[in-house]
Amino acid sequence: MKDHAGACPPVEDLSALVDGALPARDAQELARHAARCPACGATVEAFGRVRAQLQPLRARAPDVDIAALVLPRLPRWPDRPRARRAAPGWRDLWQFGPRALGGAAALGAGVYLGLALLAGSAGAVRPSGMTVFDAEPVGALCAGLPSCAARGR
Amino acid sequence: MVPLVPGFYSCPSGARSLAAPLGGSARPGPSGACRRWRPREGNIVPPDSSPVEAAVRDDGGAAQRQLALRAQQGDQDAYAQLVRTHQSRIFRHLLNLTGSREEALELSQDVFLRAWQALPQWRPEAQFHTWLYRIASNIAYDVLRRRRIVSFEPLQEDFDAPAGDAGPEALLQARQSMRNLDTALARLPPEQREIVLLREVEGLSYEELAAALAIDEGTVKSRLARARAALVAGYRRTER
Repeated sequence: MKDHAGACPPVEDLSALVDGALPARDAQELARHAARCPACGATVEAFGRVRAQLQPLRARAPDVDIAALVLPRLPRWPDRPRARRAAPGWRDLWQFGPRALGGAAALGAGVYLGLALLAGSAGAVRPSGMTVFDAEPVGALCAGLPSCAARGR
Repeated sequence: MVPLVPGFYSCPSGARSLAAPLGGSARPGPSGACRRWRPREGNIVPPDSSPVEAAVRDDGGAAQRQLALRAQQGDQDAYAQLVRTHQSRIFRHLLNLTGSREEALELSQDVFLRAWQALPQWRPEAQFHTWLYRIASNIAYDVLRRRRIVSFEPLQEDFDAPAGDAGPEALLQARQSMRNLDTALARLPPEQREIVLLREVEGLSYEELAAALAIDEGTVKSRLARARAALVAGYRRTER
């Protein structure tokens, strides 16, 4: 903190003085300054009076038991987020078996379909479901509006 | 000299002074200048704590910590004790912050429901009540951001205004003074209103304020000083 023999201290220091939050030596020095300086003294006095004026707000209280309202609404243990779990050990890895199998099957199917699309040769296996991507509509019943009109539809 | 709170340092020339009692007129000293502040016991001490809060502080929060650890394991009885210990202070803070009793009641419930959900993230190093204030602050901010104007619940007529030794006239003046201060408080920006209330009404230390507001202690010091200066300035405006 600055020497307050001449200049006034920042308002932060006066506020901290009111709170008793300054080191003893700084507080004594600042208090001496405030006792001499009307402006700083007025500020400290006003801050202290604001505190006194606000104390009645402490008397405000709820008129119902909030716990009685809250406790029935608490989610039960299984629904409540649990505390952080420990990492699973080797013995727990069997739990992941079904998920791993499902993931592998999905991956295999994806690779198979991708290869079938990219191969493009006559020899390649062409799954019937892929016909939906052909230029000709499924069933080739009506390739376009003119041809439909020619048939008198 | 640059005024610390603009507009309120005309005291030596005879105008109104911050040294005058809030709610009263300036009291010139014998020489015509405003009386000077004198350090004395009582004007630089922290605000008192309520008995419950004092008990929470006296045991260093150890009992609260044990309850919170049990609640963290799903013990609802332990959590019920925590709620009953802290419900008054959380409600009071939310009421002072929002100005509405109904809203404070609703938000208090939200605070304790959200705290129950967030308990797995609570760490024993944190004081439980500052952690709750932090949750309350987040919830109240959501509400305060939505509405820019705060309409405050008026203080009751039988409110225990600090009138000192006085008769009916002084009591009336003290009540008017309380109302003016309440109005000035309502006009502060939410972050200033919150820090003033947490310090002056809830009695949190700078360290606790820093934890509750998630800011460092330097910011606590400066924000609190600005808030106090703004409150005094606002109060003077309501008096005119």
